[in-house]
Amino acid sequence: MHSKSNILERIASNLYQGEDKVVADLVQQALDQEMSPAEILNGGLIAGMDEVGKDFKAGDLFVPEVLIAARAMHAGMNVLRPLLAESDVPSAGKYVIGTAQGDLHDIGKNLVKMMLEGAGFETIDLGTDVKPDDFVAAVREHQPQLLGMSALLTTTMPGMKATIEALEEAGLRDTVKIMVGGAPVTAAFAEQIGADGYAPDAASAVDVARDLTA
Amino acid sequence: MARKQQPVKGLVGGQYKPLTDDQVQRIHRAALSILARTGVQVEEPEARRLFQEAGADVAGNRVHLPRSLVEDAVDWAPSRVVLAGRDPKWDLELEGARVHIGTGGAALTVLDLETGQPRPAVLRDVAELARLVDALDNVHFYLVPVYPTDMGKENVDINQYYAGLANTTKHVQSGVYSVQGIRDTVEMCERIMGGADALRERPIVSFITCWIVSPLKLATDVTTLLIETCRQRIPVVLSAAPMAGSTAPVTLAGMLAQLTAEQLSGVVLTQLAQRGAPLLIGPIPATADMKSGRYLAGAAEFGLTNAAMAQMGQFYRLPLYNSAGMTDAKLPDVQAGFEKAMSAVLAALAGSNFIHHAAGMLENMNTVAAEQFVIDNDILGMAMRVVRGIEVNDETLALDVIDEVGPGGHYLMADHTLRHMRSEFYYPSDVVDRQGRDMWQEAGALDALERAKQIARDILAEHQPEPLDPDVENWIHERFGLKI
Repeated sequence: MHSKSNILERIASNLYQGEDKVVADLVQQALDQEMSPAEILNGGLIAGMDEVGKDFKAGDLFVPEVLIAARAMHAGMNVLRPLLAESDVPSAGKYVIGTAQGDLHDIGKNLVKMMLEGAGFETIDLGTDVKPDDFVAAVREHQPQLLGMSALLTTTMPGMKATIEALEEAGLRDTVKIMVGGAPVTAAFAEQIGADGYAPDAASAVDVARDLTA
Repeated sequence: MARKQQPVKGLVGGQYKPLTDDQVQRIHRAALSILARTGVQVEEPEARRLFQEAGADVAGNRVHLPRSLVEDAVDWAPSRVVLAGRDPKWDLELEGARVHIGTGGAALTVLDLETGQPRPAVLRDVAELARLVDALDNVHFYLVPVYPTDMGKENVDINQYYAGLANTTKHVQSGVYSVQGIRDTVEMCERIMGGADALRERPIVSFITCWIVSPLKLATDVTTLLIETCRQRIPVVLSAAPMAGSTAPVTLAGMLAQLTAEQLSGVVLTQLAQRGAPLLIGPIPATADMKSGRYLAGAAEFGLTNAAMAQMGQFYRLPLYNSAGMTDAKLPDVQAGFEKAMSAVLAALAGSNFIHHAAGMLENMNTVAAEQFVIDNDILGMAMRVVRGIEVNDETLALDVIDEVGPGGHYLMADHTLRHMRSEFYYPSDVVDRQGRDMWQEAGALDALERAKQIARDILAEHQPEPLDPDVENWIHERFGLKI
């Protein structure tokens, strides 16, 4: 029993440190010791990510440290996933994401995407300069719970409104919650164009996404 | 993984030079000329005797100093002085263009943290502010910031040095007010450090003497104290603070020349009293408000001229004490913020060794406020980051990382980012708000002043500095009958 809890602790602490290869090895070792996938998932991987989330909120961890921890989480999940029953695989939801039409600035969008993945969302990234019709097509194809759009330029912000209108025309608006963000975007703007949520930064985007899918 | 940033003190400045080399030389020659031609007024008999025996031309109270004596004295004075902290991590090595910044004295008024109202400073404040400063990493030393109005001249020295030393492990400096006070303080510190030699090796205190009344007149009583501190072989500061326009020529160059002359006369006196006596020259150039005659601490010329004096200190290779981070504002407001930031950056970039008055002070030197110490801690942290400059080498040019990430990629997960992100930037305290507007609003929409007050409250409620040895503490109380 002692060695079991020990290996879970090591998974959690290596995940916290962003050691993706070590985490994958340790997950395999735990499986070799005949620990259950659910036990490894909850006691090791998720326990580690919880610690990361706590210290990030407290300002002790920085964004890159959260991202490498999330990468380590994925490395562990890749070992576990084939062994987990479908119902045990944690998925917070499907999330289609892209920058507004005309906008090529994607660091913020990428950051949100990585943070969402770290929190267990499955993301479909449409990239940059995404036309309203392409957002509509992706929603039709992937049937996500969430759609996220970002803009850095004030001139591309209208593209978000156009996308929401296009979804309405296609009869898909009510199938998906829409989040918007980006430096010039405000909560008031989000409300004005009929979005469901707004987040001022990548970390709070995860909280908003969780609230909208709860 | 939570790693605290290391306090950065003793970084090498000198990037900002308001004077050209030629201008430094001209001010130097002008100062020598003032000392030879005009001289200084000396009423204190022992000082006059010391000057006369060394070959100065003494006529009545007027002492004219020959160039050779001045040059000898500058040579005799140490060009490196260590001011130690009770904790050696706070030792300050004053030399060259190494920069250290901290508090200054001696305000008579404290703004109450809760009401914002002014009240007289008392001995308890010396202790409480020491405890506050002990927790502020960008404040490198504790110069007793207030004069406790509940103390008399005869017992203030030992009481305020004790109140400081007991509540911070940083170096403690103060003005001194009696010969007996100096002797008591030295005796206490020898006990704390475990002997006379141990204290001289790592002096945990130093003394300020405002021995000059500008222009060019030695203050009689303080000169007596200055001679005593030199003979104690404890570092002493030669503080002089003329105002351009009233106690110095209105032109900045003329003020700098006079102030340099005043400083050099003090260097001569200290070295005649005790050759090799450790000292800090202490020029604090300022300007008078021509509209009222008031002393100005927040003027644009303040940072400019204090930076210029740092250059003079480096020219003479003498450790230097000057001022910056001051303001004429009455409360921690917008004026306080920009006046303080401007002169702090200039004096630090000039490579000043010991910048005092830079934390907590308001209304030039008249008032302190706990929340202002907290605000200044971040101004000083940012100033020191600027002094640190930009490191350029293979690792920081990051060519491999740039190639690895490639066009259109990002650096957020690069090992290089993780390796440098904590040390490359200065991270301020929560005085500085960097959130989005919505989150700021959710957190109460507080301004910097309110955030600083909360931090000050938290520190004063929680922070406990490393105490003195209990046996030593008991001995001190029995020996000196302290008031705290």
